[in-house]
Amino acid sequence: MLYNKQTYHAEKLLVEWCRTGNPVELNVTRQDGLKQYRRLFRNNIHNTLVQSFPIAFEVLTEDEWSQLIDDFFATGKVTDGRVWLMAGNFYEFVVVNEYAAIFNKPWLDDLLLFEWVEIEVHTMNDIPKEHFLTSGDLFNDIIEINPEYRLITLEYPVHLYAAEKTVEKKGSYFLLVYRHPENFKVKFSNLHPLAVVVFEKIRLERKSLKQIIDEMDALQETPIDDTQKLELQSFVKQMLEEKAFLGFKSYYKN
Amino acid sequence: MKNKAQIGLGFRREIADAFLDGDIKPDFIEVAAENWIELGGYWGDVFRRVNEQFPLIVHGLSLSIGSPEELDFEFLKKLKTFLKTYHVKIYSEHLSFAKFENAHFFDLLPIPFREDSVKHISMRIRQVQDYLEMPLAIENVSYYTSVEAEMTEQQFINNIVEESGCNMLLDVNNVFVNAFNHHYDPYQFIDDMPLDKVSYIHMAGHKRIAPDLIIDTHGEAIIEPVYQLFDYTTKKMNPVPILLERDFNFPELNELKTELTALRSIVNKNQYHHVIQ
Repeated sequence: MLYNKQTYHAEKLLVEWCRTGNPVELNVTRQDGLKQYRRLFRNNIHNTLVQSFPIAFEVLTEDEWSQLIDDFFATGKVTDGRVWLMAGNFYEFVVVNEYAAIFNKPWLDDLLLFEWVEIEVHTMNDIPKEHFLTSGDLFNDIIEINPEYRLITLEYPVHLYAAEKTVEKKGSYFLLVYRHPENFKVKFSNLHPLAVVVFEKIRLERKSLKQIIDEMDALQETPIDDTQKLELQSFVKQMLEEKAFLGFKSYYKN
Repeated sequence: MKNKAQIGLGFRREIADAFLDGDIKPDFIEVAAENWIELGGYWGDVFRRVNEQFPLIVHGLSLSIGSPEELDFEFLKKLKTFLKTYHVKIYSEHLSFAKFENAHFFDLLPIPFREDSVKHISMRIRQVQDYLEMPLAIENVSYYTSVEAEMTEQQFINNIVEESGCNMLLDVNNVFVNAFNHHYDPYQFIDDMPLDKVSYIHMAGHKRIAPDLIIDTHGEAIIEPVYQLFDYTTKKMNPVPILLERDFNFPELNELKTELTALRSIVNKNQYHHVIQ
Protein backbone atom coordinates (compact mmCIF):
# COMPACT_ATOMS: atom_id res chain seq x y z
CA MET A 1 0.00 0.00 0.00
CA LEU A 2 1.35 3.40 -0.95
CA TYR A 3 -1.20 5.42 1.03
CA ASN A 4 0.28 7.29 3.93
CA LYS A 5 -1.34 7.04 7.36
CA GLN A 6 -3.42 10.17 6.90
CA THR A 7 -4.96 9.04 3.61
CA TYR A 8 -5.65 5.57 4.94
CA HIS A 9 -7.21 7.09 8.04
CA ALA A 10 -9.37 9.43 5.96
CA GLU A 11 -10.83 6.51 4.02
CA LYS A 12 -11.34 4.55 7.23
CA LEU A 13 -13.22 7.42 8.88
CA LEU A 14 -15.33 8.02 5.80
CA VAL A 15 -16.39 4.38 5.78
CA GLU A 16 -17.01 4.48 9.53
CA TRP A 17 -19.30 7.46 9.15
CA CYS A 18 -21.22 5.82 6.32
CA ARG A 19 -21.70 2.59 8.20
CA THR A 20 -22.57 3.91 11.64
CA GLY A 21 -23.53 7.57 11.35
CA ASN A 22 -21.25 8.27 14.31
CA PRO A 23 -19.59 11.69 13.99
CA VAL A 24 -16.03 11.60 12.65
CA GLU A 25 -13.37 14.28 12.36
CA LEU A 26 -12.72 14.61 8.66
CA ASN A 27 -11.61 17.55 6.62
CA VAL A 28 -14.42 17.72 4.06
CA THR A 29 -15.62 20.47 1.76
CA ARG A 30 -19.34 19.72 2.21
CA GLN A 31 -20.83 18.32 5.41
CA ASP A 32 -24.20 17.93 3.68
CA GLY A 33 -22.44 15.94 0.96
CA LEU A 34 -21.00 13.61 3.56
CA LYS A 35 -24.51 12.91 4.83
CA GLN A 36 -25.62 11.97 1.32
CA TYR A 37 -23.17 9.08 1.23
CA ARG A 38 -24.65 7.45 4.29
CA ARG A 39 -28.17 7.92 2.93
CA LEU A 40 -27.28 6.55 -0.51
CA PHE A 41 -25.39 3.56 0.91
CA ARG A 42 -28.15 2.61 3.31
CA ASN A 43 -30.74 2.92 0.53
CA ASN A 44 -28.70 0.57 -1.63
CA ILE A 45 -28.55 -2.05 1.09
CA HIS A 46 -32.20 -1.62 2.02
CA ASN A 47 -33.47 -1.77 -1.57
CA THR A 48 -31.38 -4.80 -2.47
CA LEU A 49 -32.51 -6.71 0.59
CA VAL A 50 -36.19 -5.77 0.23
CA GLN A 51 -36.01 -7.13 -3.29
CA SER A 52 -34.24 -10.28 -2.07
CA PHE A 53 -36.47 -10.95 0.94
CA PRO A 54 -39.95 -9.68 0.09
CA ILE A 55 -41.72 -12.05 2.49
CA ALA A 56 -39.44 -11.29 5.45
CA PHE A 57 -39.81 -7.58 4.76
CA GLU A 58 -43.56 -8.03 4.84
CA VAL A 59 -43.80 -10.09 8.02
CA LEU A 60 -41.21 -8.33 10.18
CA THR A 61 -42.21 -5.10 11.87
CA GLU A 62 -40.79 -1.87 10.52
CA ASP A 63 -38.55 -1.56 13.59
CA GLU A 64 -37.25 -5.10 13.27
CA TRP A 65 -36.45 -4.66 9.61
CA SER A 66 -34.73 -1.33 10.26
CA GLN A 67 -32.67 -2.86 13.03
CA LEU A 68 -31.53 -5.66 10.74
CA ILE A 69 -30.58 -3.23 7.99
CA ASP A 70 -28.78 -0.84 10.36
CA ASP A 71 -26.90 -3.62 12.13
CA PHE A 72 -25.95 -5.36 8.91
CA PHE A 73 -24.83 -2.07 7.41
CA ALA A 74 -22.78 -1.19 10.49
CA THR A 75 -21.15 -4.52 11.27
CA GLY A 76 -21.96 -7.03 8.53
CA LYS A 77 -19.65 -7.83 5.70
CA VAL A 78 -20.56 -8.25 2.06
CA THR A 79 -17.70 -10.28 0.73
CA ASP A 80 -18.36 -10.25 -3.00
CA GLY A 81 -18.88 -7.38 -5.41
CA ARG A 82 -21.79 -9.14 -7.10
CA VAL A 83 -24.80 -7.52 -5.53
CA TRP A 84 -27.08 -10.58 -5.75
CA LEU A 85 -24.79 -12.39 -3.31
CA MET A 86 -25.50 -9.80 -0.61
CA ALA A 87 -28.62 -11.77 0.30
CA GLY A 88 -26.50 -14.78 1.27
CA ASN A 89 -24.28 -12.66 3.51
CA PHE A 90 -27.37 -11.11 5.09
CA TYR A 91 -28.90 -14.53 5.82
CA GLU A 92 -25.65 -15.67 7.51
CA PHE A 93 -25.48 -12.44 9.49
CA VAL A 94 -29.00 -12.90 10.85
CA VAL A 95 -28.32 -16.53 11.82
CA VAL A 96 -24.97 -15.86 13.49
CA ASN A 97 -26.33 -12.94 15.49
CA GLU A 98 -29.43 -14.87 16.56
CA TYR A 99 -32.05 -12.33 15.58
CA ALA A 100 -34.67 -15.10 15.50
CA ALA A 101 -34.32 -15.31 19.28
CA ILE A 102 -33.97 -11.55 19.76
CA PHE A 103 -37.22 -10.92 17.85
CA ASN A 104 -38.87 -14.04 19.26
CA LYS A 105 -39.58 -15.16 15.72
CA PRO A 106 -38.14 -18.68 15.63
CA TRP A 107 -39.03 -19.16 11.95
CA LEU A 108 -36.92 -16.18 10.83
CA ASP A 109 -33.78 -18.14 9.88
CA ASP A 110 -35.80 -20.64 7.85
CA LEU A 111 -37.74 -17.90 6.09
CA LEU A 112 -34.56 -16.08 5.08
CA LEU A 113 -32.96 -19.34 3.96
CA PHE A 114 -36.01 -20.17 1.86
CA GLU A 115 -35.91 -16.76 0.16
CA TRP A 116 -32.13 -16.77 -0.26
CA VAL A 117 -32.04 -20.24 -1.81
CA GLU A 118 -34.62 -19.19 -4.38
CA ILE A 119 -32.29 -16.36 -5.43
CA GLU A 120 -29.26 -18.63 -5.41
CA VAL A 121 -30.86 -21.32 -7.55
CA HIS A 122 -32.32 -18.77 -9.94
CA THR A 123 -29.03 -16.96 -10.43
CA MET A 124 -26.18 -19.43 -9.90
CA ASN A 125 -23.90 -20.33 -12.77
CA ASP A 126 -25.00 -23.00 -15.21
CA ILE A 127 -23.72 -26.43 -14.26
CA PRO A 128 -22.65 -28.72 -17.09
CA LYS A 129 -25.08 -31.61 -17.48
CA GLU A 130 -24.24 -35.19 -18.30
CA HIS A 131 -25.58 -36.55 -21.55
CA PHE A 132 -28.87 -38.32 -20.79
CA LEU A 133 -31.66 -40.24 -22.45
CA THR A 134 -35.21 -38.91 -22.33
CA SER A 135 -36.80 -42.33 -22.22
CA GLY A 136 -36.00 -45.30 -20.06
CA ASP A 137 -37.18 -47.61 -17.34
CA LEU A 138 -37.78 -45.59 -14.19
CA PHE A 139 -37.36 -48.61 -11.96
CA ASN A 140 -34.30 -50.27 -13.50
CA ASP A 141 -32.36 -47.46 -15.19
CA ILE A 142 -30.04 -45.01 -13.50
CA ILE A 143 -31.56 -41.56 -13.20
CA GLU A 144 -29.73 -38.38 -14.20
CA ILE A 145 -30.62 -35.61 -11.81
CA ASN A 146 -30.82 -31.94 -12.71
CA PRO A 147 -27.62 -30.58 -11.09
CA GLU A 148 -29.02 -27.05 -10.66
CA TYR A 149 -30.67 -27.49 -7.28
CA ARG A 150 -30.33 -27.04 -3.55
CA LEU A 151 -31.80 -29.42 -0.99
CA ILE A 152 -32.48 -27.65 2.29
CA THR A 153 -33.79 -28.74 5.66
CA LEU A 154 -36.25 -26.53 7.48
CA GLU A 155 -37.60 -26.70 11.01
CA TYR A 156 -40.50 -24.40 10.22
CA PRO A 157 -42.49 -25.07 7.04
CA VAL A 158 -42.32 -21.52 5.71
CA HIS A 159 -42.65 -22.93 2.20
CA LEU A 160 -46.09 -24.31 3.01
CA TYR A 161 -47.67 -21.83 5.42
CA ALA A 162 -47.50 -18.17 6.37
CA ALA A 163 -44.40 -17.76 8.55
CA GLU A 164 -46.32 -16.78 11.70
CA LYS A 165 -48.40 -19.96 11.49
CA THR A 166 -45.45 -22.33 11.36
CA VAL A 167 -44.58 -22.22 15.07
CA GLU A 168 -46.96 -25.03 16.02
CA LYS A 169 -45.85 -27.06 12.99
CA LYS A 170 -42.20 -27.31 13.97
CA GLY A 171 -40.60 -30.48 12.62
CA SER A 172 -38.23 -31.68 9.90
CA TYR A 173 -39.06 -30.57 6.41
CA PHE A 174 -37.02 -31.22 3.28
CA LEU A 175 -37.32 -28.84 0.40
CA LEU A 176 -35.86 -29.45 -3.03
CA VAL A 177 -35.33 -26.17 -4.89
CA TYR A 178 -34.31 -26.55 -8.51
CA ARG A 179 -34.11 -24.67 -11.77
CA HIS A 180 -36.11 -25.89 -14.72
CA PRO A 181 -33.57 -26.56 -17.47
CA GLU A 182 -35.69 -25.11 -20.28
CA ASN A 183 -37.67 -22.19 -18.91
CA PHE A 184 -35.21 -21.49 -16.03
CA LYS A 185 -38.02 -21.06 -13.50
CA VAL A 186 -37.26 -21.98 -9.91
CA LYS A 187 -39.46 -24.78 -8.66
CA PHE A 188 -40.00 -26.18 -5.18
CA SER A 189 -40.77 -29.68 -4.09
CA ASN A 190 -41.50 -30.70 -0.51
CA LEU A 191 -39.89 -34.13 -0.08
CA HIS A 192 -40.86 -37.02 2.15
CA PRO A 193 -37.86 -38.24 4.24
CA LEU A 194 -37.75 -41.53 2.30
CA ALA A 195 -37.67 -39.59 -0.97
CA VAL A 196 -34.73 -37.59 0.39
CA VAL A 197 -32.80 -40.83 1.01
CA VAL A 198 -33.56 -42.00 -2.52
CA PHE A 199 -32.67 -38.62 -3.98
CA GLU A 200 -29.30 -38.58 -2.20
CA LYS A 201 -28.51 -42.14 -3.25
CA ILE A 202 -29.34 -41.35 -6.86
CA ARG A 203 -27.16 -38.25 -6.65
CA LEU A 204 -24.19 -39.70 -4.79
CA GLU A 205 -24.18 -43.38 -5.65
CA ARG A 206 -25.73 -43.21 -9.14
CA LYS A 207 -27.87 -46.27 -8.66
CA SER A 208 -31.24 -47.28 -10.12
CA LEU A 209 -34.36 -47.10 -8.00
CA LYS A 210 -34.42 -50.92 -7.96
CA GLN A 211 -30.84 -51.09 -6.66
CA ILE A 212 -31.61 -48.52 -3.98
CA ILE A 213 -34.76 -50.28 -2.83
CA ASP A 214 -33.03 -53.66 -2.83
CA GLU A 215 -30.24 -52.25 -0.67
CA MET A 216 -32.70 -50.66 1.74
CA ASP A 217 -34.68 -53.91 1.90
CA ALA A 218 -31.50 -55.75 2.79
CA LEU A 219 -31.15 -53.55 5.85
CA GLN A 220 -33.53 -54.96 8.45
CA GLU A 221 -34.12 -51.55 10.03
CA THR A 222 -35.58 -50.05 6.90
CA PRO A 223 -37.63 -52.56 4.96
CA ILE A 224 -39.59 -50.98 2.14
CA ASP A 225 -43.18 -52.18 1.80
CA ASP A 226 -45.08 -52.37 -1.49
CA THR A 227 -46.95 -49.15 -0.87
CA GLN A 228 -43.70 -47.31 -0.29
CA LYS A 229 -42.22 -48.84 -3.42
CA LEU A 230 -45.14 -47.54 -5.45
CA GLU A 231 -44.80 -44.14 -3.80
CA LEU A 232 -41.10 -44.00 -4.66
CA GLN A 233 -41.80 -44.94 -8.27
CA SER A 234 -44.40 -42.22 -8.35
CA PHE A 235 -41.87 -39.78 -6.84
CA VAL A 236 -39.28 -40.59 -9.52
CA LYS A 237 -41.93 -40.27 -12.25
CA GLN A 238 -43.06 -36.90 -10.92
CA MET A 239 -39.48 -35.60 -10.62
CA LEU A 240 -38.85 -36.65 -14.22
CA GLU A 241 -41.98 -34.87 -15.39
CA GLU A 242 -41.06 -31.73 -13.50
CA LYS A 243 -37.42 -31.85 -14.69
CA ALA A 244 -35.90 -32.16 -11.24
CA PHE A 245 -34.59 -35.36 -12.81
CA LEU A 246 -33.45 -34.88 -16.37
CA GLY A 247 -33.75 -38.43 -17.69
CA PHE A 248 -31.83 -41.66 -17.73
CA LYS A 249 -28.15 -42.35 -17.71
CA SER A 250 -26.55 -42.58 -21.12
CA TYR A 251 -23.28 -44.37 -21.63
CA TYR A 252 -22.41 -41.88 -24.32
CA LYS A 253 -19.78 -39.46 -22.95
CA ASN A 254 -20.13 -35.70 -23.42
CA MET B 1 -15.78 1.28 -33.00
CA LYS B 2 -12.48 2.64 -34.30
CA ASN B 3 -13.01 5.52 -36.65
CA LYS B 4 -16.60 6.56 -36.29
CA ALA B 5 -18.35 7.57 -33.11
CA GLN B 6 -20.91 5.03 -31.99
CA ILE B 7 -23.88 5.63 -29.72
CA GLY B 8 -24.55 2.94 -27.13
CA LEU B 9 -26.99 2.25 -24.34
CA GLY B 10 -26.50 0.57 -20.99
CA PHE B 11 -28.02 -2.90 -21.05
CA ARG B 12 -30.31 -3.28 -18.06
CA ARG B 13 -32.66 -6.10 -17.13
CA GLU B 14 -35.68 -3.81 -17.00
CA ILE B 15 -35.38 -3.09 -20.71
CA ALA B 16 -33.76 -6.35 -21.84
CA ASP B 17 -36.69 -7.39 -24.02
CA ALA B 18 -36.46 -4.19 -26.03
CA PHE B 19 -32.90 -5.09 -27.00
CA LEU B 20 -33.70 -8.73 -27.77
CA ASP B 21 -36.85 -7.91 -29.73
CA GLY B 22 -35.10 -5.28 -31.80
CA ASP B 23 -37.23 -2.45 -30.44
CA ILE B 24 -34.12 -0.51 -29.58
CA LYS B 25 -30.90 -0.84 -31.56
CA PRO B 26 -27.93 1.02 -30.13
CA ASP B 27 -24.57 0.64 -31.84
CA PHE B 28 -23.21 -1.12 -28.76
CA ILE B 29 -24.15 -1.94 -25.20
CA GLU B 30 -22.39 -1.51 -21.89
CA VAL B 31 -22.86 -3.81 -18.91
CA ALA B 32 -21.59 -3.82 -15.36
CA ALA B 33 -19.30 -6.84 -15.15
CA GLU B 34 -20.43 -7.77 -11.65
CA ASN B 35 -24.06 -8.08 -12.72
CA TRP B 36 -23.27 -10.75 -15.32
CA ILE B 37 -20.11 -12.62 -14.31
CA GLU B 38 -20.82 -16.33 -13.73
CA LEU B 39 -24.53 -15.76 -14.02
CA GLY B 40 -26.60 -18.73 -15.11
CA GLY B 41 -30.24 -19.54 -15.72
CA TYR B 42 -32.62 -17.10 -17.32
CA TRP B 43 -30.39 -14.05 -17.18
CA GLY B 44 -27.31 -15.94 -18.24
CA ASP B 45 -29.25 -17.04 -21.32
CA VAL B 46 -30.48 -13.50 -21.99
CA PHE B 47 -26.95 -12.16 -21.72
CA ARG B 48 -25.55 -14.67 -24.20
CA ARG B 49 -28.29 -13.80 -26.68
CA VAL B 50 -27.89 -10.04 -26.36
CA ASN B 51 -24.14 -10.37 -26.64
CA GLU B 52 -24.60 -12.07 -30.02
CA GLN B 53 -26.45 -8.99 -31.25
CA PHE B 54 -24.40 -6.08 -29.91
CA PRO B 55 -20.72 -5.18 -29.42
CA LEU B 56 -19.97 -4.96 -25.73
CA ILE B 57 -18.17 -2.53 -23.44
CA VAL B 58 -17.69 -3.61 -19.84
CA HIS B 59 -17.92 -1.19 -16.96
CA GLY B 60 -16.83 -2.30 -13.50
CA LEU B 61 -18.38 -1.57 -10.12
CA SER B 62 -16.36 -3.44 -7.53
CA LEU B 63 -12.68 -3.30 -8.46
CA SER B 64 -12.41 -0.46 -5.94
CA ILE B 65 -9.22 0.99 -7.32
CA GLY B 66 -8.98 3.40 -4.39
CA SER B 67 -9.07 0.81 -1.60
CA PRO B 68 -6.04 0.47 0.63
CA GLU B 69 -6.03 -3.34 0.64
CA GLU B 70 -4.58 -5.66 -1.99
CA LEU B 71 -6.45 -6.05 -5.27
CA ASP B 72 -8.86 -8.94 -5.35
CA PHE B 73 -7.12 -11.27 -7.79
CA GLU B 74 -9.79 -13.91 -7.46
CA PHE B 75 -12.24 -11.39 -8.85
CA LEU B 76 -9.77 -10.25 -11.50
CA LYS B 77 -9.39 -13.83 -12.66
CA LYS B 78 -13.15 -14.14 -13.17
CA LEU B 79 -13.20 -10.75 -14.84
CA LYS B 80 -10.42 -11.69 -17.24
CA THR B 81 -12.28 -14.84 -18.26
CA PHE B 82 -15.44 -12.80 -18.78
CA LEU B 83 -13.66 -10.16 -20.88
CA LYS B 84 -12.01 -12.81 -23.04
CA THR B 85 -15.16 -14.90 -23.43
CA TYR B 86 -17.12 -11.94 -24.76
CA HIS B 87 -14.24 -10.38 -26.74
CA VAL B 88 -14.44 -7.12 -24.83
CA LYS B 89 -12.16 -4.37 -26.11
CA ILE B 90 -12.89 -1.66 -23.53
CA TYR B 91 -13.05 -2.16 -19.78
CA SER B 92 -13.65 0.79 -17.48
CA GLU B 93 -13.84 1.39 -13.75
CA HIS B 94 -14.55 4.25 -11.36
CA LEU B 95 -11.89 6.45 -9.83
CA SER B 96 -13.26 5.85 -6.35
CA PHE B 97 -13.40 3.19 -3.69
CA ALA B 98 -16.32 0.88 -2.96
CA LYS B 99 -14.70 -1.56 -0.56
CA PHE B 100 -12.78 -1.24 2.67
CA GLU B 101 -11.16 -4.07 4.63
CA ASN B 102 -12.72 -6.40 2.06
CA ALA B 103 -16.32 -5.36 2.76
CA HIS B 104 -18.23 -4.10 -0.28
CA PHE B 105 -20.55 -1.09 -0.08
CA PHE B 106 -22.04 -0.98 -3.59
CA ASP B 107 -21.56 2.73 -3.92
CA LEU B 108 -18.68 4.98 -4.86
CA LEU B 109 -16.75 6.84 -2.18
CA PRO B 110 -14.41 9.70 -3.02
CA ILE B 111 -10.68 9.07 -2.83
CA PRO B 112 -8.69 11.82 -1.11
CA PHE B 113 -7.08 13.92 -3.85
CA ARG B 114 -3.52 13.55 -2.58
CA GLU B 115 -0.06 12.81 -3.91
CA ASP B 116 0.22 9.44 -2.14
CA SER B 117 -3.20 8.49 -3.54
CA VAL B 118 -1.90 9.17 -7.04
CA LYS B 119 1.02 6.81 -6.43
CA HIS B 120 -1.11 4.14 -4.77
CA ILE B 121 -3.80 4.15 -7.43
CA SER B 122 -1.38 4.37 -10.34
CA MET B 123 0.38 1.30 -9.02
CA ARG B 124 -2.91 -0.58 -8.74
CA ILE B 125 -4.03 0.47 -12.22
CA ARG B 126 -0.76 -0.84 -13.64
CA GLN B 127 -1.27 -4.11 -11.77
CA VAL B 128 -4.77 -4.44 -13.20
CA GLN B 129 -3.65 -3.63 -16.73
CA ASP B 130 -0.77 -6.08 -16.52
CA TYR B 131 -3.01 -8.82 -15.19
CA LEU B 132 -5.84 -8.28 -17.66
CA GLU B 133 -3.44 -7.61 -20.53
CA MET B 134 -5.54 -4.69 -21.68
CA PRO B 135 -5.84 -1.01 -20.83
CA LEU B 136 -8.16 0.19 -18.10
CA ALA B 137 -10.28 3.29 -18.71
CA ILE B 138 -10.77 5.13 -15.44
CA GLU B 139 -13.92 7.20 -14.92
CA ASN B 140 -14.18 10.60 -13.28
CA VAL B 141 -16.90 10.05 -10.66
CA SER B 142 -19.44 12.39 -9.19
CA TYR B 143 -18.71 13.21 -5.54
CA TYR B 144 -20.60 15.14 -2.92
CA THR B 145 -17.69 16.24 -0.83
CA SER B 146 -13.95 16.00 -1.23
CA VAL B 147 -12.02 14.53 1.69
CA GLU B 148 -8.63 15.63 3.01
CA ALA B 149 -7.80 17.02 -0.44
CA GLU B 150 -4.35 18.40 -1.26
CA MET B 151 -4.93 19.03 -4.95
CA THR B 152 -7.78 19.66 -7.36
CA GLU B 153 -9.73 16.89 -9.01
CA GLN B 154 -8.28 17.90 -12.38
CA GLN B 155 -4.72 17.56 -11.10
CA PHE B 156 -5.60 14.26 -9.46
CA ILE B 157 -7.05 12.75 -12.63
CA ASN B 158 -4.28 14.04 -14.87
CA ASN B 159 -1.56 12.78 -12.56
CA ILE B 160 -3.10 9.33 -12.39
CA VAL B 161 -3.62 9.05 -16.14
CA GLU B 162 -0.05 10.16 -16.72
CA GLU B 163 1.59 8.03 -14.04
CA SER B 164 -0.41 4.84 -14.68
CA GLY B 165 -0.66 5.05 -18.46
CA CYS B 166 -4.37 4.25 -18.27
CA ASN B 167 -7.14 5.55 -20.48
CA MET B 168 -10.07 7.61 -19.35
CA LEU B 169 -13.82 7.18 -19.41
CA LEU B 170 -15.05 10.76 -19.43
CA ASP B 171 -18.44 11.14 -17.78
CA VAL B 172 -19.71 14.50 -18.97
CA ASN B 173 -22.71 14.44 -16.66
CA ASN B 174 -20.39 13.87 -13.69
CA VAL B 175 -18.37 16.90 -14.73
CA PHE B 176 -21.56 18.95 -14.75
CA VAL B 177 -22.73 17.55 -11.39
CA ASN B 178 -19.38 18.16 -9.71
CA ALA B 179 -19.03 21.64 -11.18
CA PHE B 180 -22.46 22.53 -9.83
CA ASN B 181 -21.91 20.98 -6.40
CA HIS B 182 -18.38 22.31 -5.94
CA HIS B 183 -18.70 25.63 -7.76
CA TYR B 184 -16.25 25.35 -10.61
CA ASP B 185 -16.42 25.93 -14.34
CA PRO B 186 -17.28 22.66 -16.15
CA TYR B 187 -15.93 23.96 -19.45
CA GLN B 188 -12.58 24.73 -17.89
CA PHE B 189 -12.63 21.27 -16.34
CA ILE B 190 -13.14 19.71 -19.78
CA ASP B 191 -10.28 21.84 -21.12
CA ASP B 192 -8.08 20.47 -18.35
CA MET B 193 -8.84 16.81 -19.05
CA PRO B 194 -6.47 14.55 -21.02
CA LEU B 195 -8.94 14.28 -23.90
CA ASP B 196 -6.51 12.35 -26.10
CA LYS B 197 -6.70 9.53 -23.55
CA VAL B 198 -10.50 9.25 -23.51
CA SER B 199 -11.74 5.80 -24.62
CA TYR B 200 -15.41 6.66 -24.45
CA ILE B 201 -17.89 9.05 -22.93
CA HIS B 202 -20.77 8.58 -20.50
CA MET B 203 -23.88 10.70 -20.66
CA ALA B 204 -26.72 10.51 -18.15
CA GLY B 205 -29.38 12.36 -16.24
CA HIS B 206 -29.24 13.55 -12.65
CA LYS B 207 -31.51 14.88 -9.93
CA ARG B 208 -31.34 18.18 -8.09
CA ILE B 209 -32.35 17.42 -4.51
CA ALA B 210 -31.57 20.82 -2.98
CA PRO B 211 -30.99 24.28 -4.44
CA ASP B 212 -27.25 23.68 -4.25
CA LEU B 213 -26.95 19.91 -4.50
CA ILE B 214 -27.29 17.51 -7.45
CA ILE B 215 -27.19 13.73 -7.11
CA ASP B 216 -25.96 11.63 -10.02
CA THR B 217 -28.93 9.28 -10.30
CA HIS B 218 -28.96 7.91 -13.87
CA GLY B 219 -32.71 7.96 -13.40
CA GLU B 220 -33.69 11.09 -15.31
CA ALA B 221 -33.41 12.45 -18.84
CA ILE B 222 -30.29 14.38 -19.82
CA ILE B 223 -30.83 18.10 -19.35
CA GLU B 224 -29.94 20.78 -21.89
CA PRO B 225 -26.87 22.22 -20.09
CA VAL B 226 -25.34 18.74 -20.06
CA TYR B 227 -26.00 18.39 -23.79
CA GLN B 228 -24.26 21.76 -24.24
CA LEU B 229 -21.26 20.59 -22.28
CA PHE B 230 -21.24 17.39 -24.32
CA ASP B 231 -21.34 19.43 -27.52
CA TYR B 232 -18.39 21.47 -26.31
CA THR B 233 -16.49 18.33 -25.32
CA THR B 234 -17.01 16.38 -28.52
CA LYS B 235 -15.92 19.38 -30.59
CA LYS B 236 -12.53 19.14 -28.90
CA MET B 237 -12.06 15.41 -29.38
CA ASN B 238 -11.60 12.73 -31.94
CA PRO B 239 -14.70 10.55 -32.23
CA VAL B 240 -15.12 7.99 -29.45
CA PRO B 241 -18.07 5.77 -28.45
CA ILE B 242 -20.80 7.56 -26.49
CA LEU B 243 -22.82 5.68 -23.89
CA LEU B 244 -26.21 6.70 -22.56
CA GLU B 245 -26.61 5.47 -18.98
CA ARG B 246 -30.08 4.84 -17.61
CA ASP B 247 -30.24 2.67 -14.52
CA PHE B 248 -33.79 3.04 -13.23
CA ASN B 249 -37.00 5.04 -13.60
CA PHE B 250 -37.08 3.87 -17.19
CA PRO B 251 -39.17 5.99 -19.53
CA GLU B 252 -41.01 4.89 -22.68
CA LEU B 253 -38.59 3.54 -25.25
CA ASN B 254 -39.28 6.51 -27.49
CA GLU B 255 -37.78 8.81 -24.89
CA LEU B 256 -34.59 6.75 -24.76
CA LYS B 257 -34.48 6.70 -28.55
CA THR B 258 -34.89 10.47 -28.61
CA GLU B 259 -31.90 10.82 -26.29
CA LEU B 260 -29.81 8.47 -28.42
CA THR B 261 -30.77 10.46 -31.51
CA ALA B 262 -29.89 13.74 -29.81
CA LEU B 263 -26.47 12.42 -28.87
CA ARG B 264 -25.91 11.10 -32.38
CA SER B 265 -26.83 14.38 -34.03
CA ILE B 266 -24.40 16.30 -31.81
CA VAL B 267 -21.61 13.84 -32.55
CA ASN B 268 -22.32 13.87 -36.28
CA LYS B 269 -22.30 17.65 -36.32
CA ASN B 270 -19.00 17.74 -34.49
CA GLN B 271 -17.41 15.06 -36.63
CA TYR B 272 -18.21 17.30 -39.57
CA HIS B 273 -16.70 20.16 -37.61
CA HIS B 274 -13.48 18.13 -37.35
CA VAL B 275 -13.39 17.44 -41.07
CA ILE B 276 -13.72 21.06 -42.13
CA GLN B 277 -11.12 22.41 -39.70
